[in-house]
Amino acid sequence: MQEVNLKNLYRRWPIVRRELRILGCQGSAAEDIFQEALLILCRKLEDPRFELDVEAIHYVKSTCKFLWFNQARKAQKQQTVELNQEVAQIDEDWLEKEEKLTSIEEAILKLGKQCQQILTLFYSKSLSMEKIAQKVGLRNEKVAKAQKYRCIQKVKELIQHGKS
Amino acid sequence: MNPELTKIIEDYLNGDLSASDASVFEQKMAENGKLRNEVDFQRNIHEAAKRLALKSQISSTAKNYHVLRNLIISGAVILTLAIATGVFYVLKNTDKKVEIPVEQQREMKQLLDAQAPIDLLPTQYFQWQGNDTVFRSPRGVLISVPKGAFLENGKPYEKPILVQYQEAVDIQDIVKSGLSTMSGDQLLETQGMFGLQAFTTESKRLDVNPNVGVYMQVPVDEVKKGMLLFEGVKSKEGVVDWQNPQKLQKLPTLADMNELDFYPPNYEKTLNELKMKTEKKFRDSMYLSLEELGEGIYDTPEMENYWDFHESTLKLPSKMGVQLLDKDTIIEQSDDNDSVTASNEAPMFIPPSNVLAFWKPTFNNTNLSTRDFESRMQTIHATCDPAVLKLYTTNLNLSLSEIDAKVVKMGYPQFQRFADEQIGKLEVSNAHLLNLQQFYDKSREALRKSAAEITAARKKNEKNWDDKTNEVRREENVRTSVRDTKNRMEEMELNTESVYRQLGKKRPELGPSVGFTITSNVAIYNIDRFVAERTTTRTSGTFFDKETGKTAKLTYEKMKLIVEDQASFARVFVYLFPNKLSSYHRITPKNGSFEYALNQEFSYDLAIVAYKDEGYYFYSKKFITATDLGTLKLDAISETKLDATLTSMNSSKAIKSDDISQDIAWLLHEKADNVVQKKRKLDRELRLRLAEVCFPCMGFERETVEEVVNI
Repeated sequence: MQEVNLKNLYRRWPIVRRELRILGCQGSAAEDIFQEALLILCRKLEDPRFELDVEAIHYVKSTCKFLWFNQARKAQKQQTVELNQEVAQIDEDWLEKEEKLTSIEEAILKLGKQCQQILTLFYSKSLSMEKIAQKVGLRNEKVAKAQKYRCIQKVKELIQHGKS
Repeated sequence: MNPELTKIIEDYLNGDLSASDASVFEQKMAENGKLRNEVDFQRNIHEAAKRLALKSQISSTAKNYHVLRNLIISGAVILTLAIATGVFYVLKNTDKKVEIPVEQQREMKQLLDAQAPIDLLPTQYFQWQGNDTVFRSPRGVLISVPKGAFLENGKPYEKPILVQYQEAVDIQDIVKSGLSTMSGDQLLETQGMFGLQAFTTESKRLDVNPNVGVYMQVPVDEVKKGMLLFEGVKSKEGVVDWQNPQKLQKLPTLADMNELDFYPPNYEKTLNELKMKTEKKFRDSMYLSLEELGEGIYDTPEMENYWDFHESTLKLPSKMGVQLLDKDTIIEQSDDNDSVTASNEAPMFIPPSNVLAFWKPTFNNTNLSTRDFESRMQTIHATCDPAVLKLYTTNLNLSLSEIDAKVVKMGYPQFQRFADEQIGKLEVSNAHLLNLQQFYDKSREALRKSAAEITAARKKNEKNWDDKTNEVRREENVRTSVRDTKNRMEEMELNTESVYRQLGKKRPELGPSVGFTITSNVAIYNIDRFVAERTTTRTSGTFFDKETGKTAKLTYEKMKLIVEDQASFARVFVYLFPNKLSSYHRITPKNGSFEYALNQEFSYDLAIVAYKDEGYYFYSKKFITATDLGTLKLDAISETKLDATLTSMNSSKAIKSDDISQDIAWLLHEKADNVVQKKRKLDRELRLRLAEVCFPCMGFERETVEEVVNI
């Protein structure tokens, strides 16, 4: 169901693009923000405490604005924020955590293709180790599991290394 | 970091630990903050992996979305039937208006609405009077209907007609219209769909004249590459299929040459900053005069001929900054015979003559007199490659987009965005274009010649002035050495007489035979030699004459002065007028102060002359004493007064004075030269600065104008 949503939501991109452009956000930066907003929506939907009380596209739109203002504020740019803009309220703690996750993502992306596959398949689709082994071409479940440990270990090391 | 620990945490998080192991682990976690952190961290990794998966899902959705949209299209024009009134702003219209009566319009509208090609879209109507007219729709779409755009039975229809128009520009309208975006089984990405039909007052539908056509310009968020124009064909079921894709062509926007700007970017801005004249004529000729700088024939001022202190501080432009790109490596191999290669010649710059030659009303109504070419020109200047400009100026018969494509092939990918605009062709007769071509070549040559002539004339002027300066200085130099010699001779003569007088001896007449007796072993030391030595070194001394037993004395005492704020003057001259000599002394400064030993037998008048750009400054004092005169302040004086004062000081002496007028003339010339040289330097600086702006690929080393001013 969520997949269907994404496709439909993406079709509304031109409208969002137009609105973002009015706010001075253009080109690939705008689309990045749009995608980030979609991601936030999807992740929020997984949270049982989250209630989507508006149409999904409205939520995405106002999140886009929030992200853009946030980004502009960080870049210390002078932004004229129109007061009647509908801007999503996303709490700072949550955003902070998302940022932390982004840095872990970066570490994961530095891993080999196989590691990336194992981790994303295991944690997002909750596939069994057996199926994952088949997909990524490992001999059996055990080998895949051992490989998964190594991958996690590697991510930790990368982050630790990055910090030091 | 311990791999075993990672493994245990992993099993714990995945619920793979046995119940007892898990409770032990949880207890340990409760005790150990570090372990808790470790677990949290690993949990975050899981979440990040999940988030990453989601992210890639979104980006693949994005990809799918864009692939679908990129499959094809944009504009779809349906040409079919038509009726009634104007929701349109008529931008340009004819004076002879034959209005269709309102009542009739209403009737027609009712009838024609049913024939509208796009069922669910509102219809709009405008009247067309048979002449070139541009309409603007509420959505900003421009519709240009030229004369003869519609045909009735194959013949141009020129009576008033009603044009029916429908538009779906944004997604809401497109969705509302219920139109498909399918071409066969391909999905199209649309940037707008339009319906346009023309009807006679009898509600008869007219055909579009394929040789004239109706031009539409649609505002879009971005110009997408590969957008095509499709024709909509309705099936029996009423579903529109889009067929017969054609390239979109935008027409160039014509403008009058007087309103266009083809100068290099920032040229005018720089002139404005310098508060230079704004007349186009002045700016053109300034621009043209830069041509020689681009060509590198920068005229070195012939400073080496100068005898004194005018040192050249000007640096010549270096060609080091010129980038020689090996274009061949970039150019795609092409069978296209007329593909042009970029010129590899050294001075890479757009000669102003090549620009000014077409910037004339004669070139109105060509590709060159368009806003579109104006925007290209900015980029052409940045390429510094005259071959690019040449493509545009020599191919007036091609469309701008055809030329853009050629320029891209030459190795200038920055022109791709222009090529993507798909600017179409202007219809100009070939004979006219040929004339223009010749006219361009001729006027370019003429401009080049005139640039060269202006340069030559300026150089000739400068040379004449410099020659004169050199001549004046040469004469002055001769006069100075003559004057010094003469002064010394006169002073020596007077000193000799003084010594003889002091010794009470009669000075021997110089005759054909002079005899004397050697009375001692010392070297001969006669009166004349004593006098000559004292006079030359300008020092005091005594001479004892054995014969008479008397002593003679020559006394020189030092005079010293400093000119207040001397550094502020371009030059300072100190004159001493001795009352007993027929001429004057001019003293050169030593370490910033002027010193001279005065002969105590004379009296001296002092005059100080200085000049700077603003004018002359002067100080004078009669009968100065041989002491430290301290710091003297100069006052401004007019040129005439200076001339008169110096002349009178020179002549108010005991004896007849030499003429000083030539010396004054020299002084005045030096002052004038000071101004001339400074102005020249500023001119050069200005031109170099402008050349830098206009020819960005050439390196010019120069001082800033401020620095020059402060010299």
